[in-house]
Amino acid sequence: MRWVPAGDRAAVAVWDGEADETGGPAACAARIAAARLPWVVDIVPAYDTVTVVYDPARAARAADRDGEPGVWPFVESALRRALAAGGAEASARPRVIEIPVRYGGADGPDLEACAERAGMDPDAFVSAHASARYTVAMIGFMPGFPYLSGLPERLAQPRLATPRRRVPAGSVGIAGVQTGVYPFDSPGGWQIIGRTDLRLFDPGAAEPSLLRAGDIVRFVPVAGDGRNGGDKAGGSQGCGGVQGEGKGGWFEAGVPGEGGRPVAGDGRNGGDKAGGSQGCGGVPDKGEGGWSEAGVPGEGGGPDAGARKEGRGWA
Amino acid sequence: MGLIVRSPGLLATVQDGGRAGYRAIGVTAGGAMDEVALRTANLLVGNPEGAAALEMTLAGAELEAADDLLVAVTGAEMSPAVDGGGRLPARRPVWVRRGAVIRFGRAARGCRAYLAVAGGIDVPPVLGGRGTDIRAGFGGAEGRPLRAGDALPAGAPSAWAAAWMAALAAEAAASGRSWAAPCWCAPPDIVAGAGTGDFDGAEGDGGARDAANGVVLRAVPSADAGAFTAEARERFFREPYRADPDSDRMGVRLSGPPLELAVREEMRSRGVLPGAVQVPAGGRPIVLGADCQTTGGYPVIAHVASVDLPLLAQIRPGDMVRFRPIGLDEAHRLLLRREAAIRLLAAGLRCKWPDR
Repeated sequence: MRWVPAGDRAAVAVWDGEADETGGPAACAARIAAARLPWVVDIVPAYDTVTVVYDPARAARAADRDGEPGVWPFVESALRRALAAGGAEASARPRVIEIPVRYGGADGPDLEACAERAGMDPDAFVSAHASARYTVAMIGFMPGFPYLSGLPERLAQPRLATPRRRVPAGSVGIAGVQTGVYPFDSPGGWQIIGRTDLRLFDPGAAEPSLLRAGDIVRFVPVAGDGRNGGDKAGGSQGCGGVQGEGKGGWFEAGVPGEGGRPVAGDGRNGGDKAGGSQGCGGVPDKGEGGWSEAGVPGEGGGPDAGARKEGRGWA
Repeated sequence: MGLIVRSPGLLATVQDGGRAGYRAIGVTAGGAMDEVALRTANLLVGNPEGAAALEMTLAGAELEAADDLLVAVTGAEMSPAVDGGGRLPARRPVWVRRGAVIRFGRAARGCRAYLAVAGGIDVPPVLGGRGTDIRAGFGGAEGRPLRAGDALPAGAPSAWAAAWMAALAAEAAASGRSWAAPCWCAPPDIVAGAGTGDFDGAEGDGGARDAANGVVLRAVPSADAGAFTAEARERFFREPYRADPDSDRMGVRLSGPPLELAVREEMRSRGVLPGAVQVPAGGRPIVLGADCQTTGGYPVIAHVASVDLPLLAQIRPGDMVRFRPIGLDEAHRLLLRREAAIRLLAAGLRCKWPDR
């Protein structure tokens, strides 16, 4: 792992090859956060990088106190020290989060085509998708959007030739060997195979994002009629699932056991009575001046860009 | 209530100093595109530098003061007029009487103007910020651009602002006008296109705009630069680019000679931030703006130096843009000099009380 500057207020830890003794991006991000460096503004773990955004003015003052003449040498050595010092926090076990999904039908319009491309029937495709154990490689593109690694290779899919103008919040998609969930209504080019009523992002919550980098995710098929049923049982799957103890809650690693076998649905769709699972605020149809018209995901380096990267030649 | 939006103009949003600490969960920092103009406007009305203010784009808003207010205007020149008459002077505190209507015109220079009000625009904070995240739909006025009829509450003015309000109110009453301002003002914004003065941070070439060269942005070559051909790297710092009309707060899109990648090696998405010059497959660079996504997967050829991000914010569609390479140490040095200039302005204003 090495540190490189990204402009004059970010330092990026880059892993060039295989995993090393650092424990990888999510662990390093946690250790840097634990060091509580006053000049660090943001820490963004990704697949093979951690981007640390810093305030150059505050870093310069800290560098002065340390007798270090340059901002960058100070930042780099302080980050190295923070990584070396970290211990307990970094070894915290990952959380496991279950996401109930209604596969296929109106909620997963691309399921059948995906299954056909993979040479399996839709049930087998769903079963394969729900048996895998996924890791949140990073959150990006929009608030709370998880890029999940761990999709079985045979389920990999090209992205849509023409991105949809609107993918509903909660949609579960596949692009390349990644799978992910749209937290908001959004334009998008991923193949949509199902939908959850879990709210992935709530700006008013103490912990706004359901997921964070390093979390383990499992998808649990639930029966669905394409509508939000919603009753008391479903309530725990709705807003604020992070803290919940129910299906949408989270567990320490290892608790939801048994090899990721698909769990039979309880016949209920998630979602609470208030319908709060339908995202928080939504996304306006148009951005400031046609940027979103031009395909935000594709051009901005969003999921579709990622999909292209991960998709090994699909475009 | 502080301000009532009678017309938002082309695009007006509530913006502040941005959100910090939420990029890891995909929340963009956002905030004012022209951070220096925002901070200056806030200092001029006695606010914390990052308080929420109004950001207007290319064609300004029409606003009604719902109370007696102290306001300051910075950034692009939009010729604000009060009650259809006198021109509201820029870069100084201005007292306006309740009921007065401030009308901004089209930007004669620059792209984004800011109006700060003493006490700040007091919309509820979301994730540590009051700025509008249009794409995610939160912050500011319900997460959307302002529209006619919106009422923006102002917070409580500082003691300094209150003293100026009292003095200027008396002056306005004496002159019979609906507004009053002191005769002094802050140094010219870099953003107004002057490219000179205490705030531009420029030494010799770069960090400026002029008629011949358009906007010159100083930029630090990226560690990814190896992804580009030597020819592309050289061309990027030599050729002029033109800002496209589809530029916005997410990024300034540029037309010009395409930049070829040396290797087709796929890059995995990683954290990106404003000022990064991303080059998608087509070879047309995009300079990321305040509302850029938190992660991106395109190679980055350079990062615009933070000291020149206010110039980026003031680029208009059709403007010519050039890039000039500088080293990382130089970028830091220029930014620290800028920060020192702002601290000096803040200190100067703090001891500037109205005459009695």
